[in-house]
Amino acid sequence: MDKILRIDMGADGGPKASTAPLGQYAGFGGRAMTSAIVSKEVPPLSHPMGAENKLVIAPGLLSGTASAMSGRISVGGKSPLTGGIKEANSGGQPSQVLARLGYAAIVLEGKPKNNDLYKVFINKDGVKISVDNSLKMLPNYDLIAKMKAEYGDKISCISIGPAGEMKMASATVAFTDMELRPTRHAGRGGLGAVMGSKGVKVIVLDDTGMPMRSPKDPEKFKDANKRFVDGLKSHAVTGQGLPAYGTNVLTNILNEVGGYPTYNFKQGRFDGAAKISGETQAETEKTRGANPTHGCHRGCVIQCSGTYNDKDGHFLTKQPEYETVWAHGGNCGISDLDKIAMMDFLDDNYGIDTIEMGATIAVAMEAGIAKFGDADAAVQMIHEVGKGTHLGRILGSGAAVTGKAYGVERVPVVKGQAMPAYDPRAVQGIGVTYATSPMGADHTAGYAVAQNVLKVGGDVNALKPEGQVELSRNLQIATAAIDSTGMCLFIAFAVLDQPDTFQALLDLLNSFYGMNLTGDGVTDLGKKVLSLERDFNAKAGFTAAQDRLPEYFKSEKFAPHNVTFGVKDEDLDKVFNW
Amino acid sequence: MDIKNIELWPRITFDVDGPLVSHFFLLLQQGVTIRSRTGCSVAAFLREEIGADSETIEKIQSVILDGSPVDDLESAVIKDGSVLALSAAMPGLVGATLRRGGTYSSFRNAITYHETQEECIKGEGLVHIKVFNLLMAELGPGLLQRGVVISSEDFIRFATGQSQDFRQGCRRITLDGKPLASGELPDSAWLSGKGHIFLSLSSTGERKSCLDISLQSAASHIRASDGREIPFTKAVLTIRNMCDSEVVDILPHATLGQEGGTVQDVSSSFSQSAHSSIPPGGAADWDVYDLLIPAHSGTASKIHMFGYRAALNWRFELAAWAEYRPSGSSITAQTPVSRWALRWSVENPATADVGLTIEDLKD
Ligand code: SF4
Repeated sequence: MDKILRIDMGADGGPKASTAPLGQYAGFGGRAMTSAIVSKEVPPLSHPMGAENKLVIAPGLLSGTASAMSGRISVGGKSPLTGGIKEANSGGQPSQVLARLGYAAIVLEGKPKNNDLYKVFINKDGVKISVDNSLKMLPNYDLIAKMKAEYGDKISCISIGPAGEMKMASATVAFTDMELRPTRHAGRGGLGAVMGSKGVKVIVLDDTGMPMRSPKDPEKFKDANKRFVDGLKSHAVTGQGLPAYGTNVLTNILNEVGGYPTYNFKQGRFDGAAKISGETQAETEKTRGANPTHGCHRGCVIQCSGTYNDKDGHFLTKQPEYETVWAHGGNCGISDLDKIAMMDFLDDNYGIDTIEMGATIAVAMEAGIAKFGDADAAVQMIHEVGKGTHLGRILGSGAAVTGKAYGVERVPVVKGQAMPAYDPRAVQGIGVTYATSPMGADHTAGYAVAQNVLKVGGDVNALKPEGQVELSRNLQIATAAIDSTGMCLFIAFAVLDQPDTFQALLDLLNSFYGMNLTGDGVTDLGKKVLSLERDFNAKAGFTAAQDRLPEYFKSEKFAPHNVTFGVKDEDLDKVFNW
Repeated sequence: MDIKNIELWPRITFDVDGPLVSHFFLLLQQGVTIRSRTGCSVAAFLREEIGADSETIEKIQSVILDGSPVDDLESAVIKDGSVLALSAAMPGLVGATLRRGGTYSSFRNAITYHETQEECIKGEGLVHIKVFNLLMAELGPGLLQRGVVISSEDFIRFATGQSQDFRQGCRRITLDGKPLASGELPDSAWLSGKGHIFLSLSSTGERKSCLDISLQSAASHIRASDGREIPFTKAVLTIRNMCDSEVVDILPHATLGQEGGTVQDVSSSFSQSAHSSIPPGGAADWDVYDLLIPAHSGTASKIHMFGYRAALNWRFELAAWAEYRPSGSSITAQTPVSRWALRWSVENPATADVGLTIEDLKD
């Protein structure tokens, strides 16, 4: 992983690939790599679909090694949805494969001179770029079936569906899983549209003949990996809760505390929650012969994912995640798991972000396009997006645009990006992260609960109101750091509670690269990434006014607790004071 | 009918094996109602009413009382009508935020539980309890064994969702003490007009019952209508305390069916010789012929007219179980349902001796 592959899609005479050593980007992986390249090379005022924007795809620092959990991949660029810098990450096989092929990043730049659609094939012998207009408007599943027929089943793919080709702001970049299905997506921020604007439909990777990446100190690495895996397996969340039920295990508890946004963030409880909970979902999967415990890539030992079969026992989609089940379920008043799973499949197939799509459908329901709870109408709306009808173009542009088009006031977005499944009035600390993350409303930005271990920002008195701001800052730093290692963020639960597991993670990095990274070094990395991202956004025209929740969160009381968002603006402005 | 009249709701009991117990767990996430002590702390409730030991309480990482996350289990008070939800450790920042007393609890200050009741009003009431995720397997068997009230709607959804395997796997289902064919579950016609039911499991996997119920024969005599003493083998129903502590509040139940006749609840006959407590190792006996058969109106009237001979050569089916409470515990437990077939017949026509065959129907 000592080189960067650049493909200039606008080169004279057609797209040109070149490789170069890491240079100033040495030591970066995942989000650190994407944000470093974007902030350094993309003019902040450029148009997201323009030739100056770049799409950066970067495996994590430990991807392609024997380390557990190391197969997440980051995608970065200037977001068509937020207008700011964006990193979205995903599971799937390509991270490991790309790393074994030796690439620390693929950068798609420039803009093709015509409307041709390209496929890129990368193996140990190099890179081949070819026009393949037969792929135009193919949904992801059909596309991958075609690639399999052409290149065999030892490949993994990075692709876009019709939404990406149509440059919709909610389009995803898809990554194939272990079964070569396009079920994993870098979903947030519309980076699929950026890939579409580069004219690249699919990147096919084949690492046949490439060895696993080997560490500088194999003994220490092996030992650290063992301690790391033991730590994950012994923790209640990563060892039991997530494998048994997946992330959707959150539905019941969020609903119970009244923090489950329902009917387009109108209230905090949904009557049908138990019908779509993780517990019900796991039971349904088991009785239909599907698998509720499955990894999104090889090397995952937590296995929060799974498969979902239809009533006849045939594969329908991967196990929909909490965010998806909420977005298409409670937020739209829908309590039919099969319909929700169908929508998950359609989102994956057309290449649309499930959170953005669900939030958009709820806004459309509020606008009166369909009734809350009408699952068939919701399915139909996704088809409209996939087909690119006039309505579909509006919906595919996300919740903010749809809200504007239909004059809806209650539009739950920050920096143009739809909020995920936690209401910031009930859980106000999350609201701080939604408001201030450079990524737009993003739950994963503050996912890494590593405060105690990393001691970022010193000791925090969590009970003081300002503690929420400090905690949010620390969480964002820790998250940026973990995103940069390419580790799945779910390791954070074990890392928070078990300092030994955090040490094992540091030892993994140190023994692999021969470094001497400490907790402080990780903190510095996280701060550096966030600073780069904030700096880019400022130059793109973002001010403190964008670090705010929509006004109605401050005035509309949220049942059952009848609370409003109470963190003061001046406190929000302190999040990045370090 | 008010949900508070728990005793008046239909009582359905499933006698099921360990693996089938998990089929009932999804009912717990929707919430079930129990009658329990109120005016006590959440900690005391979990320990004494739900039977959670300290290891289990440690696993209960999120406690939500009336929609608000609780940090201090000792100060939050359970009241009549409280809704209590229990969850194991949950993923994500929100999972960490909702943990009791966690580093990130300040994130949800706006909804955190604060006890307002200054003085605990001790009493008894109904508590609605929801059990989520990994705790369902941990707390579910005990709760279901104790018995819970659920809405008939929830029950119908549960019953219609069960497979043929489940119905075949149920050893016995009783409705108000009378056997219910598993085929009657899905349509649940017997539920029409009923708002709630009391559901309990009589066998919950690994849990061993303190009380063992057996049926044995014992040599005895019976007086014929002509005054003769005839050797007659009795059927003796014995409830024995197998635990190390006294068992109190024993409430035995039995149903009796005569071949070709109806199955009737004969529990009332136990009250004639009630044993409300049994010491460790102790036992209580009931004579089936003398006590239980007279409570079966069909058989009793025939015996009344034709004497003991009316009971001969018929197959009777007897089912018996008991509710009880180990002394010192506030949790009511229930034994598995034991079933037998009995038949009295003349063994020796010359002497008219009446013998008895007992067939254990459990397996
Ligand atoms: S824990 Fe879940 S998201 Fe993370 S790597 Fe494993 S399957 Fe993927």
